[in-house]
Amino acid sequence: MMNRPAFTWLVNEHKNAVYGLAVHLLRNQEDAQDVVQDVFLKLWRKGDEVERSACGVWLMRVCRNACLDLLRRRRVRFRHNADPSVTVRGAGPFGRDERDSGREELFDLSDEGAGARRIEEATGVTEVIETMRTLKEPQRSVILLRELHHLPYEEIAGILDLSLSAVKVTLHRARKNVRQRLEEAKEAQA
Amino acid sequence: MNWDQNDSRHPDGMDEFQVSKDPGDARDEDGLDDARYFRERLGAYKPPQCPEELVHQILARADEEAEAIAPGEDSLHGRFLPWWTRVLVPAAALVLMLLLLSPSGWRSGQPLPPAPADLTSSRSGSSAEPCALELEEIFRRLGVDRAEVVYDDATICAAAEDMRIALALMVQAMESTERVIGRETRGRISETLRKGLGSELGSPTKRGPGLQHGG
Repeated sequence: MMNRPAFTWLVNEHKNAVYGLAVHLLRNQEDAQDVVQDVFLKLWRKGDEVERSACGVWLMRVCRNACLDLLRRRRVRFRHNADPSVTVRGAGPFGRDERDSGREELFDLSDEGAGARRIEEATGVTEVIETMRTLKEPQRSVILLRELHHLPYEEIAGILDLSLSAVKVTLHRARKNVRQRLEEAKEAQA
Repeated sequence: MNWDQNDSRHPDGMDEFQVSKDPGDARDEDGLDDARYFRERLGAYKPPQCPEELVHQILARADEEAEAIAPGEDSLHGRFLPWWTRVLVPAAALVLMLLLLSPSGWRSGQPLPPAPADLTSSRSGSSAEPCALELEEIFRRLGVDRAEVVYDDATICAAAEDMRIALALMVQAMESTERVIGRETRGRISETLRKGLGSELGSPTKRGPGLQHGG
């Protein structure tokens, strides 16, 4: 185990970044708190196995994995409970049917609650963030980490284990997709 | 420098190098306009802050865990277990392990245990659920801390069904034979399995520290 003062310092240093990422991915504060607690306790148990200099990246990576695992488990439960003869409610804000979206939409259960939500104002902060959340991985994580957490490309690359150029390309596509979806939603409203 | 207020060019004349753009294209070549687009909309946004109670909870739980495993008179081990268990239990474990590892041991001639249902059930399943369950199991049995492995679930679940079954069966084979084969052979199987798992996860995939001591 890690020594207590070092652990306390690390918790205070990284708490907001880890919590913010969990909230953005899960969109549920209670779930986010559970995940954050587990992530930091994992760090506590790991002790000195985790390099201090890479601790931030390690925490964000473990947090992201934990969030995606949670979303996937919900997806599994959701699928088990769903009646296949009925169209799955919770289609994305752009009217896609989850039943037809298959495995590629694995993480989109997180949008279950927002399924019927319409984008009211294409330029509002909430709408932009919600639209970011409809992206597939890793585009979603990349754009959240960059635009909301303002992390440098190098750190994003470390968290997602992508090359620097892959991060830039993914971010470019993610931004493009978000803009396109926002504009489509705006046009649909007009 | 004599600067005409109506001239939109910068005084250093940089505009003369600009390429004329389609007015409908709001994005320049390096995507800077996209960055600006998000900066303008999200500039005032503040990510959620971690509640202080959560920090207290985390630290309290860390303290609880530290106390639970701290050595000394207060520990569960020292208080309830008599001294002779510390000698007898390891000795019994050693004898049992020697018996199990011996080819002529008490298990020789007996059929191998049946395959776990959760692994073989994947033959008929094609949805994401058995895939996810198998992978959890594979990670667990390999001793890999899944939380540290960067992976893309969509990639995993889109992987060929045969590959997943092969992985599951390899894990099962390793479990079934570990009683009658040596450590070195088990190590080789584990290594093969790790390689298979690496290719299954796709590229780029990084292995966390947990993969170093799996198997």
